[in-house]
Amino acid sequence: MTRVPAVVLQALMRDVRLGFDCLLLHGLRSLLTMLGMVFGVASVIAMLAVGEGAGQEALEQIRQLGSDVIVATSVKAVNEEKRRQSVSMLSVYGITYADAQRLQQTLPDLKRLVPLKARREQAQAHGQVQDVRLVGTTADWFALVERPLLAGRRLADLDEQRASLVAVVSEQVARQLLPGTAVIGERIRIGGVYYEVVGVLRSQGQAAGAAKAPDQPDDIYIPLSTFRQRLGDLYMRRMAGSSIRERVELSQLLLQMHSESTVEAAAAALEGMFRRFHKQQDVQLHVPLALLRQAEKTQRTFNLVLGSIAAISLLVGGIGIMNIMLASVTERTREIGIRRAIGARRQEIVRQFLAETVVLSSCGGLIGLLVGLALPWAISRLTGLTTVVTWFSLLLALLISMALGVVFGLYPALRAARLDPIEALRYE
Amino acid sequence: MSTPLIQLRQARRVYHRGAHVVDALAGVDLTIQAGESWSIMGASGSGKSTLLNVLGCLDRLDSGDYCLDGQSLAALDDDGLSAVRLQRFGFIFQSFHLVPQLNVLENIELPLFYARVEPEQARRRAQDLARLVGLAERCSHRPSQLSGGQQQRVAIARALANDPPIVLADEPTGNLDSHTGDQIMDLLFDLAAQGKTLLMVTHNEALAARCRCRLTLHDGQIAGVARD
Repeated sequence: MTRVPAVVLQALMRDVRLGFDCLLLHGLRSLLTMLGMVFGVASVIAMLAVGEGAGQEALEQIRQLGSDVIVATSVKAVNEEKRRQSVSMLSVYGITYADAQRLQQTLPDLKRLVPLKARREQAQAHGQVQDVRLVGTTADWFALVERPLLAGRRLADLDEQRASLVAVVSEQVARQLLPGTAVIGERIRIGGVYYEVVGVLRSQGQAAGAAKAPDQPDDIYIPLSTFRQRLGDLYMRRMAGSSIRERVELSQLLLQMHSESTVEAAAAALEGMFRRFHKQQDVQLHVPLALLRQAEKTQRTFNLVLGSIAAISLLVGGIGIMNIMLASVTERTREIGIRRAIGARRQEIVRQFLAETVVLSSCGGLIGLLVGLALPWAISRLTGLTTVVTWFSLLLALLISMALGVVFGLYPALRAARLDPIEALRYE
Repeated sequence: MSTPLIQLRQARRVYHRGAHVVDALAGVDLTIQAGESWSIMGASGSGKSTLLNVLGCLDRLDSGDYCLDGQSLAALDDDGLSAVRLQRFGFIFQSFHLVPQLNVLENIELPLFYARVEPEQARRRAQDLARLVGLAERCSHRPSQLSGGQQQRVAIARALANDPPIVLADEPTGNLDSHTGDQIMDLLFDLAAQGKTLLMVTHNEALAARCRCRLTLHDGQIAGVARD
């Protein structure tokens, strides 16, 4: 019983070897025939790599902020910008304390509201001067933006109530401003006021300006009440020839909802509220969930384009292979006649030609796999899109090429098997 | 008398060539005993090749009956006929008909491959046969690297691979010079002497004379049978 499958397997191996022989016999022809399959398979892999990359990028953004979060950021309105240029005067814009309070009271399903005042300041300690982002916020910040605590403690509700002169610094600030000290208990001077360092956090934010993470590597956190008391809402800075005078109450609001399903409704409510209470467009909403949707849309576009390319090249490649196999069957009519006369059954002729076609298409698939590894790399280099090639996509591409070999090889193989042995033997 | 090896009764085979209907075999009765050697002669178009194809199960009868070893072949399907060809017949053709991309050994192994003989066993058998036909030194040559006589030896070795009782030869020396042809015929008659049934289509009177039975066809009918 076990001998028969072994013999069948050996027969198959022999068919495959014969397929390789024929492939090598017509090297250039085989290579040209494979091209369609090569591009098709490469497109499939690239498509899946871009899709996988986009998915992972979106997920990374979600991981940084959470999909249940909305970020509202104060921005200078466009017409405000123009006005400031003509006359050096006070510009007032952004989220107000009243906005925060109103939202806290009226927005349904709100889990956490984190107000934020942020400003670029110079921090000093032990004669070192460092440009930092000074952030006034509440204890909720640390619950929403979870970062590992390296030493000391985070800001507490009590700090907020007392408007204490305490600061939590990020790792980078601690290294640059307070090298060689215990950090905790050291004092940092910002704008003429001394703050005691009570904690050090590991920041995950990228370079300043990157919108993905809410925190930045050069952050110093102090209680919001302290910020209001000591630094106020008015910001003045002299520049060459002119001066900037701004009044911004809150630079950012982080809103966390109880569930993901209410995020989009809340974002719409937020937009409505800011439109009603603000004369100008000075608040920008940023919804990670929407980013995810956007990423999915990009992914769909790519899938459509690359998918079409893949489908067309695979189809054309398959037809090319079928064409060449039909030619091969005609060329080898005599051989088929000989085999049939000797006693080969029709199914054995079918198997021989199918094996040959599958060898051809699989070799195309293998070359396509190599091109398919290079293509996402090139896409990443040229467009900056993240691409991830998975083992699954490689396997899938190979299986597709083999399956197409069977599909497009079947007709030529059946035609070969249907030849009349006598006619085939007489064929010149 | 024992069951004849081959028995044809009122065998008819008709070809349609456009509007013409050609009677390739028009009612042939033929009985062949095991171990006999037959020559089949006749003008071209007399039905020699058709008769050989029908006997070798490459072609079917339109009417009449063909019994091989007492069993009618009429009910067999294509696979069944393939199996009969594989096990009972060895074919030798005028133009050798070797598979060009296979070497000598692989060509000889071909029937063994289709009979699903184990590869090592097939390889040994093919080597034995190559030695038998005097080509032991040429096993890895391709057909294109061999002379006509050598190619026909490979074909004979291939025809013998599954040890069939019947060898069919269609003008086996037609493409060979007379000296080489004689060597090939010696080989074939050696087989006949060892008990194989040999059926041979030929134009060559001298070759036909070496067969024990001589059949002449004319217009698809038997014109004469001579026995020694």
